[in-house]
Amino acid sequence: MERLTLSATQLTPLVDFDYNGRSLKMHGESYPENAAEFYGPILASLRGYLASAVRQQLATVVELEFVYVNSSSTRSLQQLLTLLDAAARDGAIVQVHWIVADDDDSMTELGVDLLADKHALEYRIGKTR
Amino acid sequence: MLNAVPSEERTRTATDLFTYSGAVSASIIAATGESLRARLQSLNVGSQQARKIFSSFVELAYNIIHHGEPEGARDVRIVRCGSIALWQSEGEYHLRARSLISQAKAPSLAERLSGLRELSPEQIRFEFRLRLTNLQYLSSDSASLGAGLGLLTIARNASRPIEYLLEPISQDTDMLRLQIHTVI
Repeated sequence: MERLTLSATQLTPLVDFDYNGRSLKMHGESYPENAAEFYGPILASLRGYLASAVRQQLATVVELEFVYVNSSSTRSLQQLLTLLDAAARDGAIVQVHWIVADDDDSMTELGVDLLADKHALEYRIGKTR
Repeated sequence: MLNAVPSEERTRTATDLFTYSGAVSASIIAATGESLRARLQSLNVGSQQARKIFSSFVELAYNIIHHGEPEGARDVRIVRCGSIALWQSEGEYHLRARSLISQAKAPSLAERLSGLRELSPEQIRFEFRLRLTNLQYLSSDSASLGAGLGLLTIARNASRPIEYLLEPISQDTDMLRLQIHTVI
């Protein structure tokens, strides 16, 4: 499946979904005017990938490292993680790394808010290795 | 009459740090946000507090955009205007946003704002997570749902309940003046 890449902008994150490599990354800022409009195509693309991922034995690794996420982007990330969790429930192996800077309590809290109720996927909240 | 709480008067020891007044759009938020970050850094504001200030600033600014247009506006290129001021007083940081809001939108916003004032920090966090969970079952992405999480975010960043003021301007318009004041 074709790799999905979007360059980072002032308001939106770098998106690099390497489907063949099963490595999905999002880094940077997220506070676009219309989060649903920005994340819509990303979620649609991800759905396509996950439909086949459920049949695979290999893990999909998702790396999320945000500097700032506004409230409407939080809704979109909730949708994204819900999709990933649903795929994990259907048999896909999904690992989510929510990467935070050392002293960023807000981002750590957001990670907990988004991931604590995702019971099928595996996740880790912390610094980069 | 709409229920409102008057915002506290600024003390004489307040230090103005940053003000924006004018049109509000996403690109303006990006540009002023960047200025604000630079300003906070130059003032050596602690990183945790600086993040909260920035977060509340962005939420307040987007609220001006989302609440700003009058109901049934035929001209979709109406420019939303408002102002956001940041000042420091006695070790705390104050943000005050001012904008106009239509009569139609005012009651539900006032209800949300007054309801938030009753919640403890733990309850605010609970409401936030509850709203987040509920959202996955909804198909529409109306701005009003976004505003719920937005106000909850401002409330989470704050060190005390959000204060707000809603007052009519004149009899010639159905717009009201909205002021939101938060302390970080």
